[in-house]
Amino acid sequence: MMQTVTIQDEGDIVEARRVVRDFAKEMGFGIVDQTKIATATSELARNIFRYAGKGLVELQDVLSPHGMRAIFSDEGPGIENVSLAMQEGFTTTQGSLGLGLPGTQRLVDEMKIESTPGKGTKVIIFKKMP
Amino acid sequence: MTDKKMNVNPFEIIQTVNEPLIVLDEFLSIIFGNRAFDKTFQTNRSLIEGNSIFKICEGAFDTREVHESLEAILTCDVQGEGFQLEKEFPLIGYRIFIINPRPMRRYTEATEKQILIRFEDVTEQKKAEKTLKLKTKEILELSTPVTKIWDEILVLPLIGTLDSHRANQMMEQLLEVIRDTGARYIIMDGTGMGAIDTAVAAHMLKATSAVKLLGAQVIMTGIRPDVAMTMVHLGIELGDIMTRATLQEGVQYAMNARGYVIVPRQALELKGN
Amino acid sequence: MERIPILKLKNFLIISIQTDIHDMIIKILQEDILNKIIETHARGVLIDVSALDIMDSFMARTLRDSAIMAGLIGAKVVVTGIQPAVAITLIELGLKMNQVYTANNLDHGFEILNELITEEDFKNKL
Repeated sequence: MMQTVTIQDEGDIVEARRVVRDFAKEMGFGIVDQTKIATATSELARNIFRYAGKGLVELQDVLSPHGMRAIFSDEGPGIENVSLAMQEGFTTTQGSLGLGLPGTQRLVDEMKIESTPGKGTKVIIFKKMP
Repeated sequence: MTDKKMNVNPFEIIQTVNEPLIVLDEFLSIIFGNRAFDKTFQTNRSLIEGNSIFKICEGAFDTREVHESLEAILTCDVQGEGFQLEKEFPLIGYRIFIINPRPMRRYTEATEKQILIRFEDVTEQKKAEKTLKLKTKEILELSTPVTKIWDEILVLPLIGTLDSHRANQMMEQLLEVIRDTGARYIIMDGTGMGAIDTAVAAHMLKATSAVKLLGAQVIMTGIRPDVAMTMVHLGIELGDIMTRATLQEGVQYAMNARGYVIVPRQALELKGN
Repeated sequence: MERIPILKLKNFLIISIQTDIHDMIIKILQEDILNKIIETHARGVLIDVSALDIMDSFMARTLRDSAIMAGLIGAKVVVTGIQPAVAITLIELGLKMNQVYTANNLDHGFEILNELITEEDFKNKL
């Protein structure tokens, strides 16, 4: 099973979390996990919209280990220092709480960030099927 | 058909294997199917040999996954990945198979590609797994005995050791009961609970905050003296969780907060006179 | 652009967020709530989110900020009906909602608002 959502305006963030929730539900995740994955999607999709303008969310049903993978990719400005961005309280946006990436990471089982400044960012999250 | 160099026809070997196996040619028609295949799918050689895999067994294998995986082998010659086929089969009913196709070395005089497909019946195994999962869930549910003791007041005795999985399960169920009953006070009683380590304390803090988001309050009671001592030694703080020494005092606090006072009948009778 | 309706009942405002909405609409709601408080002299606001199956950091933060802002212009805000899965997710995200009053349902929220306002009036009399 595979599915993609394009992010290019604010409404797409809503669309992305709806599609992701349905996908997770279809796979058999419980309501709490569905909510966690959908919320993580919302955070990452908003990052794409805010910093890169547009990008793509790709969903995969992974067989082993059984779970759901979501790939968020954009061709935006990228992240200068990934480990700094992963620190609690870090933010580049004023008025934001800086919960962004570390908070999102706590909602999933794995999160990987690949980024090249000037080229773009790719965030991969994985949620294990319990 | 016997290969001079090998002296053994690979089909003979395939025939003796207990698992259902079939061999396809490059047009995905069946060259050979073993006895186990005939038996499992209640068919026979004359019905399948020479026919396309998508035609046999009333088209049971005419699915997207089968198409994709076989085409991948034909076009890229890769080792196919196993996949699961779960459906209602003609004659044999609902089954789950793991299907493993792989390219075959060219035995006999064959010059074209051949594909060997192995079928593994995992219906029973999956059924057992499902039952086990269900049972585990039931047991976990039993271990979260949330009881309503008064309007808007719940008691949750914490029993045994709490691991992350159980703590999460407990929190989920507790929150659902709160939502469904409209409870406002939750007394968590730790009398029957083992030691509290940092991880368990973190879970309890999380549960308390989540309960608060639903508009209810946690009152922690019955933390044993030795548990309290270990907690302080470990530097665990329960933050702003309301605590009371015993379950009774916890109940009293919640009742007071709801506007009820518990007084001995005698006191009322004296006033009455 | 669609707007979330704000109902007035006595000196309270009642808002029910019925579907998943995007960032702009919730921002507009924040403004509308504040304007309506000034306009109606409301003392309390009930925001019911029981129909929401997701609340990400942006939405939670905007609700929290709205509550603090409303406090600055003299109204208390109670958020009611947060779903269990949403609560767990917000805690996991690390979002603190300490400054916001929460209640299980509208009835409880109404009670809490009344208590808060009585308490405030009592203090003011002293």
